[in-house]
Formats: sequence, C-alpha cells, structure tokens
Amino acid sequence: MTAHFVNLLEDLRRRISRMAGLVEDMVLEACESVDQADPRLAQRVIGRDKDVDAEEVEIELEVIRLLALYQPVGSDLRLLCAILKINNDLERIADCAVNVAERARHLGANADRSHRDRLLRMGGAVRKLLRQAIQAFIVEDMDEAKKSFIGDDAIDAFYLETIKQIVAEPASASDILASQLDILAVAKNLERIADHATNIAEDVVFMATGEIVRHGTGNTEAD
Amino acid sequence: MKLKLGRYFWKIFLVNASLIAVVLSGCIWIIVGQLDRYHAAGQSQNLLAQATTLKIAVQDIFHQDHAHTLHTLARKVGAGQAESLRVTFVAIDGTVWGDSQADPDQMESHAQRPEILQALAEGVGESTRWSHTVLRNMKYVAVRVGSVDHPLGVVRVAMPEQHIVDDQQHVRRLLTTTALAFVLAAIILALALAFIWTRRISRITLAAHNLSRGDLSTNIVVSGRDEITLMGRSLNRMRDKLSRQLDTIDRQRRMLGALVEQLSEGVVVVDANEHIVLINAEAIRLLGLTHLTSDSGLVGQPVERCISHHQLLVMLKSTGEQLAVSTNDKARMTQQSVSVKEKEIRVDSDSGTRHILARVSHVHLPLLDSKPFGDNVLEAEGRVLALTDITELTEAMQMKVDLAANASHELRTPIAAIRAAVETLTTRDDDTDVMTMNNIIDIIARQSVRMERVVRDLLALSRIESSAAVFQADVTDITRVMEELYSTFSEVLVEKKIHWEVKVAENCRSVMVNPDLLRMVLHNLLDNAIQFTPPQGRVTINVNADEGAVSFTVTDTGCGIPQLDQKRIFERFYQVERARTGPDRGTGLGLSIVRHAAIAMDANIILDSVVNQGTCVTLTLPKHNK
Repeated sequence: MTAHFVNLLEDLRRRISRMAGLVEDMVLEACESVDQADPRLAQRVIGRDKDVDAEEVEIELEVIRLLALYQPVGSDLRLLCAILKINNDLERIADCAVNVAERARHLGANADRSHRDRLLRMGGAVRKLLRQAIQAFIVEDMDEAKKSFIGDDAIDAFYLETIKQIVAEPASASDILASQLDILAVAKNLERIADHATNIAEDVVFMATGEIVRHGTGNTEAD
Repeated sequence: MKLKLGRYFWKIFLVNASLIAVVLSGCIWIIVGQLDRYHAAGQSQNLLAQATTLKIAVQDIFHQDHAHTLHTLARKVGAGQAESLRVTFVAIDGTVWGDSQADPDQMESHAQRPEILQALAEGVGESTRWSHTVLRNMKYVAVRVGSVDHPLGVVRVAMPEQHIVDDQQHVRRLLTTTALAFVLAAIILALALAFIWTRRISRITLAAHNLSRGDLSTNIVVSGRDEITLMGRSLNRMRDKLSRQLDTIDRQRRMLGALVEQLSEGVVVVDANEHIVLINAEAIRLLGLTHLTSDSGLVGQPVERCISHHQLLVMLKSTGEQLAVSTNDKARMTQQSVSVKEKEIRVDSDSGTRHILARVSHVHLPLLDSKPFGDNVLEAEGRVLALTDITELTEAMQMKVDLAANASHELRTPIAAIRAAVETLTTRDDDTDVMTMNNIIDIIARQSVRMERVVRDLLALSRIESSAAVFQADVTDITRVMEELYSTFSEVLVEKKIHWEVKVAENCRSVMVNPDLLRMVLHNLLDNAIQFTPPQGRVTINVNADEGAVSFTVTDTGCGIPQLDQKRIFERFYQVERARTGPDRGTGLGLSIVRHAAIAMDANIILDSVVNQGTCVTLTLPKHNK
C-alpha cells in the first residue's frame, strides 16, 4: 500500500486512541459521580457524550472512505474492520457512562455506604478492564487482550453480588426502593461497559491474528 | 575507501609526461639541427678539398685546346667516386669544357651560376640549389683557376646535398631508439612523480573522508614542512577539537539525561507532530506505562500510544501553527507562549487513584534533520508536559479537612448533651426530684470529662506531632511505670474482674526511653485492651529484650479488630463499629497518639488481631535506646 494510505491508517489509529481516552475519562468521572454524589460531575459526563457521538460518526465515515478508495486487503482490512467495531463499542461505553452518571445524579447521597463501596470497587475493576482492552489495541498486545477476557468474570461476580445484596435487604419504604433500583442500574451499566471492553479485546485479537474468539469459539478466518 | 589512483593522479601524470615530452623533443630537435649543420660543413670542406686538388691538377692545361682532355678527366674523376660526385670545368666565359655527368656541348652557359660568380670574384664559391640537370638538391663548390687578375676559369665539384637524418641509417636508428627510451623513461618518471605527489594527498583525503563519516580514530601521519604537511596537521588538530567537542556534548547529553531521569517530576516532551521526543522514568511510572517500555522504546511514538488520559491529550493538543520557525521569530513566539496550562488529573493505577498535577508549556525544539541556515537554526514548537504526583499532598489535605470536621463533631456531641441538661435545669420545676437532678448533673459531669478527654488527646497529638517538640530519652524504671499504670486502671480492673499480668525480663528493668512517651503509648494501648476485653478476661504486658531491642507486648482476650479496619485504626477519629456504638466510647484518638508517639520514639508498632479471640500489639524500641 502507498505511504499515503499508511499515514491515513496511522491517523485513524491515533483518532480512535484519542476517543478511547475520552471515553475512559467519562467512565472515570461517572464512577466518581457515584462516589461523590456530585451532580455537576454527572452533568459533565452527560455533556461530553455528544463529543463522542460526533467523533464516532466521523471515524465511521473515514473508515468507509478508506475502504472504498483503497480497497485494502489482509491486515489493513482487518485493522479497518476492527476500528469500525471498536468505534461502535466505544460509543456504547460512553452511553453506558452517561447512564451511570444519570443514575448517580438521581441517587444523590441516598445510597448505603456498603453499596457505594462495592460499586466503586466494581467501577475500578471495569476501568482496569477497559484500560487493558484499549492498551491491547494501541500496542497490539495479545497478552493484554487475553487478560481482559479473564477480568470480565470478576465484573459479573460483582454484579451478581449486588443483586444478592439488594434481594437480601428488607423492602420497605419507597425511597429505599428507588435508590435500590438506581444502584442496580449503575451495576448493570458497569457490567455492560465491561462487556463492551471484552468485545474490544476480541476485536484486537481478530485484528492481529484473524482469529475470531467470540462466543467461546476458536474459528480461524481465512486470511 | 581504499587508496586508489584518482583523477588527480592522472592529471599530475599527464602534465608531467607532456612537460618531459616537450623538453625532450626540443632538445632532440636542437641536437639534430646542430649535427646536420656540422655534417653540411664537413661536406663543404670535403668538396673544397677535392676542387682545390683538381684546380692544381688542371691549372696548366686549363685551355680551350685541352677541352677534350678536361672532359675525360672530369668523367674519370666522377666515375672514381663512390658518391655521385659531379665535376664540371667551366671556362671564364661560362662555356662548359668538361662535365662528369653530361655532355658539355649540350650544356648552357654556366656564367650566371652563383657559385661560379662568387668563385671568380673571391676564389671560392659555394651554393646549394636544385639542379635541373640531375634533378636533385645539389651542393656546389667552385674554385677559380688562375689568379684574380688573370682568371682562366672555374673548377666546380658538386654532390647531392646530404642530410644526416636522411642518409645515415644508423644515426636514424640511434635517434629512434633514444627517443623511445626517453619517452619510456619520461612516462616512468612522470608516474613516479605523480605517485609521490598524490600519495600524501590521497592519504589526507582518505583521512578527511573517514573524519566526515565520524571515525575520529583516524590519525594522519605527517612529516616534512610543506603545505600538505600543514594541511595534515590542521586536519589532525581539527579532529582533536571535534573529538573534544563531541565528548563534551556527549557528556552534557548524558548528564542532562541522568538529571531528567532522576527528576522527581515526570517529564514528557512532544514535538509539533505530537510524537514523543523525551520521556523520563517518573513519567512512565505516573502514566502507568511500565509494561510498555520493555518491548519498544516510547521515543518517536505518537503521543496517543503512551498517554491515554483524555485531559492530558487535550492539554497537549497543539493550538499554534506547526510550521517551523527560525530563531528570529523566537522573541515573538516566547511572548505568545508564556501561558502555562495547569490541571489536576486523576489516573487509575494498581495502588488506587493517583492525583497528578499536570503542567503543559510550550518549548522550541530544534528540528533534528534541518541544516543550520546561517545563524538561524530551524525550530518547531513542541510541548513539555510536567507531571507531579500530588496524591500524598491531596490525601494530607483531605486528612486535615477531615480532622477539623471530626474534632468539631466530637466536641459538638458532649456540648449538645450539656446544653440540653442545662436547659432542663433552668426550666426545672420546684417539684423536680433529687434523682432527676442528680442524673442531669451526672450527665453534665460525664460529658465535660469526655470533652476534656478529647481536648487533652488532641493537645497530646499536636504536641507529639509538632516538629519543635524534642523528647529526650532517659533511663526509665520499667517496673515503676508498670506500677503507675496498674494504679491508674486498678479500679476498672477490679470492677471488670480482669486478670492483669506483667512480665518484665531481668535484663530490661531499666530502659533508655522517654518516660512520658512510653507512658502515653502504654496507657492508650492498655486503655483499649481493658475497654474491649469482656469481664473475666486477661490483659498481659510482656517486656523483653532481644539483641538490644526492647519490645513491649500488650495482649488481651478482647473482641479483636476486623481485618478491614486494621489498616485504618491508627487514623485520627477512626473507630471500629463496636467501639463507636459502645456505651462508654473513646475519643478515637488513642491509637493515633500511639502511632505518633511511636514515630517520635523511633519505635515500631505491630498489630496482630483475631476477631473474638483478642488483640496483640507490640511496640519495639530500636537498639540504641537501650
């Protein structure tokens, strides 16, 4: 491929890295808004979602443009496809972060300390997973990508524990019920962020090896 | 580069060879011309001698009457000569009387021939001209017969003109051989000269070439005092200077590198295209990139590859033009770029969230691949990102805020209780019974004691923490300290029926330690132990010396401290749930005082606790305190 095309690909990689950084930041702030019950922080996360949306559209258009103009094959084609999918996942993660922030705003300072602590630990694990997946994409590191598959189980465990705790609590006043719903929603969205992060890691494996590791299968795509 | 014959060599060779050739051919031309003249002169002499001989022989018969005899003589003489000698007898009137090669009757008058005219006038005549008779260039020599006053005629002898080169075979061969030999010699000489002259130049050229490629070990061997030697010396000096300069630059670079690497601040330098130019170890640590550096260097990578933090990327995003600017524009640029962006960011790491103060400033970076243009080195605008870890600072500030809040909270509770009691007292009716009154007064008394305790603990803490305070170590009688402590707690011990046991090893009855601090630590530890040990329990104090280090171990059979809380119980106002809700709660400052007192004594504290089994706290004094 031409040097020009290589430059365009590198630009695209940098753009998606930037977007990943933005999304990571949003997730961090969403988690903090749960911790600090600060409505301004939550509002900021919600406000930044439109930046991510705009960037997602632009990256998608650029990928399609490159596919049409240069008709790449082999690893370049896999890279563009992976970018297309990772782009989509990042945008979904941003949406989840917005959901978390909205719930956090609604929750305010109502949540019980133990719930809040668990959500924070869960948030930390989710951010670590996301970090691993993005880092795996940036440096094309298979080990890092495979680490994120393992990390996902821990997140699911957090989620199940949250449900168990809430079920165990005596359902009484309506305000407690509302906060319980919020906590559940935050946990659910964090769990979905982790799922998207795992998807990103899977796309990285596909990008590097052409191997599809989704759904526990090990199908190898013809290169 | 190998030493080979270059164009310069061939130039020198050609110049030398042509010079030698020109000089040689000039010499040969002159020599041959000279030889030719000698040869011609010899021929003239020869002819003159023959003519003179003939004149003497014929002067008596030189008359018209003996014309026939003369002709016969001429023929004989002419035939007797190996060379084609021509003999002519010419009368005074120009009539030919005899000739060795032609019939005299057929011949025209010779009166106007230049040699004959000259001979009649001077006695001897000579000329060289084209003979129509024999069709050759002939040399004529004529001698007058008879006296000047009475000339009889002229004897003329002639020979074809001889040229040394034309006629003499051996001379020609000699000349050719010599010329060839000389040409050969000239070529060899020219080659040798060219080689000698260019050898040193080639060597210097080779050395200069090596120098230009950065090989500074090249040494130019110089000898003599000519210009080439001077050039060699200059090159050697230049090399030494260059090597010194490079050495200095290298040392400075390494020093700067080491400095940047050792900075406690993280530093990242990014060029105009947002690629990393420099990154130090602290930055790698703060940005959590330690796993990346093993496989590939970060320098030269796009900044997105190393920094994922969105706010940092936004800060680093170049806003100004990315064009290269020369130093002339520097003043203008610096004025624009004084603004330093500063922001506090949070970064997730394995050891929790870190707070980092990030500052971005503009910097002018020399373009590495640009050639200096006059004094202006092309520069491009880059960014310097400085990262300072302020996690501890932030935590300390948070702690201070918490302390104020906690202290006020701790004081507010007893004040509120006292106020309520006082209000009850002021609005009391006359029929309020003594019991109630006593209760209220009891509340006031207890709460004031509590307030006093909080204030006392706070003061103790600040006294220990204050850097101005110096706690002198002194010889302390441990048994007495234990007795004092027992008397303090004896009432409670009896009341709760707690078994009190003190074991002091023989070798540590007296210890070098500050008694106030030790008392403070043990008092707080025992206070906790007694408070959290149920009735019938046991509190033990062991004092042991091990290789000079004295350790005080306070063991109880109390409720223990949960694993999660163990880390935090030394923080101010931190209390385990049960302590907080107990009937006679403490101030939450006890263990904080223990910790700070231990720090002041340079001692070590180890906490070991199992829930519902008991707690064991060990205070170890360092050796030198003994």
